[in-house]
Amino acid sequence: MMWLKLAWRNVWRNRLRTGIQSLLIGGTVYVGVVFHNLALGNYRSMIRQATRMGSGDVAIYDTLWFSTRRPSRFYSVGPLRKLLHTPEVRAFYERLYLPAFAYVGLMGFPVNLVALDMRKEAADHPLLKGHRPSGEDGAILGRGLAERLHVRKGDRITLTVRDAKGELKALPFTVDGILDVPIREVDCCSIFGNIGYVRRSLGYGDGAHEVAIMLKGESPERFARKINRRLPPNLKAYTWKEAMKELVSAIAMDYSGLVLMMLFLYVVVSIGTANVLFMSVMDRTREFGVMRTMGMKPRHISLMVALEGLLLGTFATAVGLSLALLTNLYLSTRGIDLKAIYSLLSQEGMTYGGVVLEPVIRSTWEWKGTLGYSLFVVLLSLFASYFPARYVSGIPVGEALRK
Amino acid sequence: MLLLLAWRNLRRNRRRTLLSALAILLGVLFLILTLEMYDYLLVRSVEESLGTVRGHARVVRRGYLKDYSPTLTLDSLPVSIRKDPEVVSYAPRVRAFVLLSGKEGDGGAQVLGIDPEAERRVSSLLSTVKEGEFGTVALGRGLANLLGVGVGDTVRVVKMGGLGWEMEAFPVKGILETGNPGQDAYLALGEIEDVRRMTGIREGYHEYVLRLKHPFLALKWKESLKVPKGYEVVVWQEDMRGIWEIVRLWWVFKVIMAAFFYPAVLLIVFNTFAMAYYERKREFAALLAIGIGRWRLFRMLIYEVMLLTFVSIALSVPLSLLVAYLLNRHPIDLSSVITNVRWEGLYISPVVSAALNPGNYVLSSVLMLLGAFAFGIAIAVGVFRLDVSRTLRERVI
Repeated sequence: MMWLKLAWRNVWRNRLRTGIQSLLIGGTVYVGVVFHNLALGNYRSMIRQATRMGSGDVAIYDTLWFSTRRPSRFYSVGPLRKLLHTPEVRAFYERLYLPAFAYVGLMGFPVNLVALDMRKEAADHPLLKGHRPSGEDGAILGRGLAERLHVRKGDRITLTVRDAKGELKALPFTVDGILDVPIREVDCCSIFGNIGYVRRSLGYGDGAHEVAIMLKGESPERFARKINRRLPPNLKAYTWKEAMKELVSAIAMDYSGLVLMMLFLYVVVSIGTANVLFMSVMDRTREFGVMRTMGMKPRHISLMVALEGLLLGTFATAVGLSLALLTNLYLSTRGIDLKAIYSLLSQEGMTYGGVVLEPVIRSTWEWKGTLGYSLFVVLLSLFASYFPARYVSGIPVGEALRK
Repeated sequence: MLLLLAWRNLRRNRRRTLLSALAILLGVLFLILTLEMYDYLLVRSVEESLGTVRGHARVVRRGYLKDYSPTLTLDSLPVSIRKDPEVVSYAPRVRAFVLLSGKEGDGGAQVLGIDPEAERRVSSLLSTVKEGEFGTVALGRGLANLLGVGVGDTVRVVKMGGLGWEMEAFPVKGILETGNPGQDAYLALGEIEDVRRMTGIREGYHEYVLRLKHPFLALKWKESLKVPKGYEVVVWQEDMRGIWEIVRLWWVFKVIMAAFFYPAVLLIVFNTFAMAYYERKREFAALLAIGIGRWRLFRMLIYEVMLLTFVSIALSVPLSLLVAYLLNRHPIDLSSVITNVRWEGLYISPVVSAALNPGNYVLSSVLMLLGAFAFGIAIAVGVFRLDVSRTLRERVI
């Protein structure tokens, strides 16, 4: 306790020096915690959007689906429905993905027909919110495709598509809605139709290429493991991380920027702390000489200097962390509105990793990272004190007293 | 003389000076390398995107890009554009949107009919053929997978004809990989004559793709260009508005990066010099007492800060250049760990490399010098407030 008191008093002997260094350490903790939680909040929003549009938390596919994407890789979902009526599952959506050719008169373009249950998915699917199909042949398409085909709401459109037996068929749709989405693949090349209508017209029975499962809160990995034990060998449940690798990569690429910045700040904090402790130690060389003549051992002096580093780090981290938590409280409720910046860059909205970025970013509360960043800075301060501590233990008493 | 004095003063406490110099050196090094890496990602992604299908600019019949109507063709490239000094080369293309049918399935495709000789001068499209060779048809890797075909197999082009559905068979001559999996899932290449047949036109081209001398100045070039009536010129900045705005505002991003990196370094510099100032307060008071002007002392302190910053930058820049050069020559390919990522229509490959852009070195150095100068002033201004008699009576810390 005495050592702690002594170290605390020494830390505050030069208030300006300690204050500036505390600003540096606290600032690093602040930046780390705020940006970590903000980035994770943004990623969660991206993941939420992507899982609702894409694979869900877990999705079931034919094992060869990802390597081929062939329409022939559909499977019967009848036996799965019973399997998915479990307390962990909030909802599940059956989908068919069929390459097709859209015709209006002589104008034709290749498109992807996404067949899904529009009424059921309207609750989750970000693109289908507010769109109600007028009839079973209702279809929704991107603005780009609608303009290319010169169609408006209520117009008829014909898709040439192979049925389940491999025969070419003409499948008519009525345009029920036009989407304004900045995702190119949707804007120019996707048509959303009703799965019931597509199945009946093309003989797919109860077939699907994907069953996207939305979980209530269960870990996707655990659920995928559990369900995989009960699936036939040609089917496999994939977590969203396995099914949407691009999103995982997009997040990894983005987060690596933050890690790079934090790495730099850590190095700078170490240098700064070492510098401050060296300055403090050099100022007190004579004092250390006196302490040694009074019988204090070199290791005790080293311990005191190390404690000074630790206390400086802990104090500054506590201040930085408190401010970061207050900021995070604001950012998690109000968020940062980036609408003005996004609209400056792109009128339709910004996309990254195949996902439309939300204009308002809200941070989240991720305690592991928050405490990890803080603890690491404290340890770094302790580590930085090692060199000054070693230095003081090696000063000869006589020389120290002469200073 | 002031410079010499400043240099001597810096060497008074070598450890402190070295630690501060190290912080500046690392700050500049980190910022330069970060900017170099981001520059590389952006420039490479844009160049790759422009270098294959898109081109720097396209000349089409007015209205063609609205609905890609196959009948809106061009006979030739207008002389005014062909002879423009900014135009390095050009190549004609014909485009067909068709349904392709293979062994295992069907897929919609955009087939580009190209003239191999002219195309080579404009884009790297032909070098994307990784298996087999160019010919009608060369399929994107994803499209070939979807159809279940490889080189030597046959695909049928399904099109609407006068008598209903018509099919024409073509051998698969090659497989291409443009680096953009989304594009490879629907892109195919072929000879111009064959693609004309697919669209039902007998002559003409749908577009001319241009290679410009200065692609990043394409918009300005377009503004000065006199486009003949009935023609339309579209430059890449109009096709990729989001990316172009990012490129245009890239310098803002760089300054924001510096705003993240530099305050921490400058705090260390400030701390060091503030301590040095307080230690030498008595010395300054003595110098003032013997008649040295406050302005001179102020300048000496500024020289000290700037000298330290300058020397650190002078060491950091060659070091950064060396690391950037090594990264540029030996890029680290992370594609086995993470996949390509789409960003506003671009495909970013996970490759860590450096762009070797001199602007990054200048910007990082200038911003650090300005920051150090501002912090230096904040410390040195203290000499104007120094009370000589009281300071001389004080004990120095």
